Amino acid sequence: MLSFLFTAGLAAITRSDEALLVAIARGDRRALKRLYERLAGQALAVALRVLRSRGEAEEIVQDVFVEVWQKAGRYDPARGSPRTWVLAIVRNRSIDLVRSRQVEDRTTSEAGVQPDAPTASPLEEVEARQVRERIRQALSSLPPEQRRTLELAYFEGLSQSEIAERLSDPIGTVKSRIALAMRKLLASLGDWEAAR
Amino acid sequence: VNCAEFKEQVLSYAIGALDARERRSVEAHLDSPIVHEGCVEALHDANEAASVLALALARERPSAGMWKAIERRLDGAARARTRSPFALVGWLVAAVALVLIIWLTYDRYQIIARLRAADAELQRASAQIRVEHEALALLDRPSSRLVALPPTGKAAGDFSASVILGPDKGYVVATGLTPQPEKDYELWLIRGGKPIPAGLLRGGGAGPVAYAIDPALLEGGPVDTVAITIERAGGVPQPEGPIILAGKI
Repeated sequence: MLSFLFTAGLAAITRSDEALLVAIARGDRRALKRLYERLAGQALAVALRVLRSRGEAEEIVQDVFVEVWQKAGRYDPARGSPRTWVLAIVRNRSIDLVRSRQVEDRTTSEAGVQPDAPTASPLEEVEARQVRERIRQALSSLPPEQRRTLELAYFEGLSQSEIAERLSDPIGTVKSRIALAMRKLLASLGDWEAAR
Repeated sequence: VNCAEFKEQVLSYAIGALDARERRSVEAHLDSPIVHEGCVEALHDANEAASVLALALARERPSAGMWKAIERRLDGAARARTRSPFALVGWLVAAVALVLIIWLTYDRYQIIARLRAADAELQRASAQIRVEHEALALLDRPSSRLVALPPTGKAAGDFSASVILGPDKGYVVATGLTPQPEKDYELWLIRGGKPIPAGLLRGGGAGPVAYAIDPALLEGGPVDTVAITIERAGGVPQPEGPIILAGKI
């Protein structure tokens, strides 16, 4: 039952996000604000996780929503959900900023300590919490070295060869870990979809 | 990269683990105009799996000013669009049109002024020709007299004039009455020793110019002498200036 609620909620969120992007592409400022209310908290979490600087993270998120406003018409649902599209832009821009400014590692007391920003409606908040809980379960099921490898790639922008150097592992091992970990996540997503 | 290789690499691509060269190869394959064997679907699934890492993070509370900052940037971009090159072209076209209108209006008034001046000159020339024809016609009449007005030498200038007098008409044909500043040439009919002002002789030059004498002035009896003087601009009721030409009838 919980699984059904989760997948149904995820699909509903994706469909309404797509509708918002269509409205944004037509120039609907209220739709952008609605999408912002839904995604800004998660987008800020990703930027903060990569940049470890709240000021820079907020700046990136602003940039991304301006970009969403300008490029909503280019969104291709065949390549991923709107949420995935927006978060990928945030992640890529943050990684680019880290590389261009060579931001020093900052110890952060900010990331992860803020309470979740409320979504627009209690129902959406419930759905979002369910999604996050299932995702955390999927991630926690990964062996630590697989999870660490994915995080180095996704949040620190390291390539397979850079990860191999960082972890002192053969590059073949790194590639295998990434492939195994991603397939497990895919399988989790498939299970959720099959449970609908 | 073929479709099978793409699907092997797409998981690392989605997580951002490919180096720049590998990433370009994957993207080039995706954009290549071939019939793909599930490449887009594989990318979709890989992207969704990668987003799990982002979705697992606890959401952060955006500061209150973030949305306002986004709105300000959107408003700024909208204002910038109104000042875009296209808007600038609009202003330039309007400015050029305004200049053109002003220029055409100015040119129109210039043309009108020139036409009016030409028309006045034509009228003056026509009147002059008419007077000359009348003077020649009078000269042909047996009752007319032609009297020369010799220069008196009282003023410097190459003046000469003749008077054609009939029973009821009279004309003066003068040469050398070039305009002088603040001065006018004035015609006098002298009858019984009394000078009668007969009009100003304007528009003269190096060539001969014919002037009609007011017929009313000829009705008072025979004229003894005809003279031309140089007077103050606008003429005077009694001669004050030097007599330059004079002749007894």
